[in-house]
Amino acid sequence: MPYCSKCGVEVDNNVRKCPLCDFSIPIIEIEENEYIDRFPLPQNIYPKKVKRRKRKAFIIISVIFLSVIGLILFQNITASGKLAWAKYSIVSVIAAWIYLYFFFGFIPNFRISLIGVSTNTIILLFFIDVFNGKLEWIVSIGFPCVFMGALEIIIIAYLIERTKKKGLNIVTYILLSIALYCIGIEAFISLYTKEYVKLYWSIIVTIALTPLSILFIYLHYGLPEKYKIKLKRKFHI
Amino acid sequence: MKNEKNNWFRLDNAGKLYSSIMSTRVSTLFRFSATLTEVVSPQILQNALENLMPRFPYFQVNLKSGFFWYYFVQTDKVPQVEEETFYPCMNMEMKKRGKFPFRVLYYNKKISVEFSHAITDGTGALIFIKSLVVEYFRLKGIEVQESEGFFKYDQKPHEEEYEDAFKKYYNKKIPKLRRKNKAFHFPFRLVPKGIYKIVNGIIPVKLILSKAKEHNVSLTEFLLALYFQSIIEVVYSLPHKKRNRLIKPIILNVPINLRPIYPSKTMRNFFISVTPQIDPRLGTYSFDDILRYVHHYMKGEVDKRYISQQITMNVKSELSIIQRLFPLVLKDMILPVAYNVLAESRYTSGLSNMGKVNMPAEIEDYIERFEVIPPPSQGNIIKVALISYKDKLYITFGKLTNNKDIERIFFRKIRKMNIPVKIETN
Repeated sequence: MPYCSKCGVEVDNNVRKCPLCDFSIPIIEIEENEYIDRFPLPQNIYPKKVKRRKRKAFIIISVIFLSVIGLILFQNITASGKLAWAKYSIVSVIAAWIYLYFFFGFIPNFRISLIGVSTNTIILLFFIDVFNGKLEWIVSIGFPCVFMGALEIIIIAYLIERTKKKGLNIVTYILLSIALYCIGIEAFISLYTKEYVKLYWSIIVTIALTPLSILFIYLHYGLPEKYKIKLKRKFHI
Repeated sequence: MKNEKNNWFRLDNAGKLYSSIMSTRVSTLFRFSATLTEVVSPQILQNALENLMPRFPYFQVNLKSGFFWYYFVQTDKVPQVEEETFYPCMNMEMKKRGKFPFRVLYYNKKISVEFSHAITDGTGALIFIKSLVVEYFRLKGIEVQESEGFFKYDQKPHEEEYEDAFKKYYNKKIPKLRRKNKAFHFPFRLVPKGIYKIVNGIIPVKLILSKAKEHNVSLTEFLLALYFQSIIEVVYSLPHKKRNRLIKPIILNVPINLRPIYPSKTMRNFFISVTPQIDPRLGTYSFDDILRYVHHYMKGEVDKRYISQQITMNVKSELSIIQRLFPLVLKDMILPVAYNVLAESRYTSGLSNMGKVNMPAEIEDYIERFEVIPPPSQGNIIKVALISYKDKLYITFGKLTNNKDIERIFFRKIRKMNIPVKIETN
């Protein structure tokens, strides 16, 4: 019978690592009758169950959305005879349905679903812009803002993934990226309206968020030991 | 009470709680298994189960939601044996139509029954699996003469087996119990939902019993002390900062079967927990210190007077009109939280000893072993249950974590006493 040489406990013949300390156990010739498993190779049914429930919920939501679209169309056509305001509502409902598809996590890859969500947003904005005859703001504001947002989220996700000690430093990342995003938005808007970049409110946001992010970074990493001693020396009571 | 279709009965005091806190992680299911010396025949097992169900009418039931409480309705359906494919003690959708509060599983040589704590406790389930095994062998042609500790298929169920013994033996006049401390909890990462890790240690019962005798304590007390010592070592192995943040008294939950104390034959829940505790903040403890404490604690606490106080506290809160008037939907939301705050947070872990299993001499040699698996719990991510059969003691750790510190320290201690240990996992 095989034993773990660290723990001194006996294990079953087919075990290659000690169940208590992971120390490897040498293969011993099986001299006796064949070995019968005591436990099945267990399956975890929980993920499957969650998936099934999600799918069910999504089907129900889809049916509701479909009937909402029908109702909107009917209301609009019977009231005014031609397709008018319903265009906006229908496009929004369809976009919401696509968003839900991604938020339900049917596509497990985070980056792909983020790109999907952004594309959906751009298409939604494009339709809303194009419905009144010509393209106005989608190219100069809509597209850059969505693109910038997606890019920032991908960068933050990458940073969070790479950070070894996760904690309040992640709050700092998020706060700084919000500040950056605000600057971007204001820049694009002012480019569109005034044709030059002039920042105002985004600077207020940045001023408010910067000390906060410094505070969180400080809370996360703490003060170096030598400054701690200095402060203690100066202010001891 | 007669065994009829659509006959209904209330849940007992403990069952009311367990039925409301059931979830994917906290399945409230525990398992007994009997390993035979040959591969189990599913057909014979199914026949045995069908023969046996009339003897256990109170288990042939379906859990239903009432407006204020859950209740059990008797059915004429018969449970089907299933092949074991999942992790042990996984959640069961008991509230669905045609589901039973237990299931019978087979795998290779092993017969397992998993019972929800809503219907019965370890003693009830143990009687059931013993009866099932006896009936299985009767169908294979081995009759047994004696009938101590299990039921035979042709007996009539006793009226008293249905009873809610908590309510029967509760005394209104006993004063309230004071609140207990918050306990230390293992800071280990949980495994994903749907997984339950089992570590089973097999020890010659004679050797460990003689060790306990050397110290003049019972086996439960001896293992409790060992478990305490192992947890203390885990506490001290934590990094300094983390330890200072987490350190709290170590409190173990030790269920006590009340049938030997009160003259009840009930097959439903009838147990109470005693909670020995050791506070590592007060200093260090030698093994003898812990052993002395546990021994005297158990001697003092397992006393009819203190136990009746606990029963009273539990039943009183069940009978309070405010609690009863809450609709079941609200109870299902409140009770899991209350259970976490008032019960689980006050225990570090649990250790339940199911004692020694005796089987009739005719079939004893056809059964290799009995094992018990404690129910998974999110508040107490590691729990221990023990049972002994013939010359072996089976100590089972049920864990919702991959961390192996506790059982490694625990079994290495036993190994150091020069007692051989065999480890099995799922």
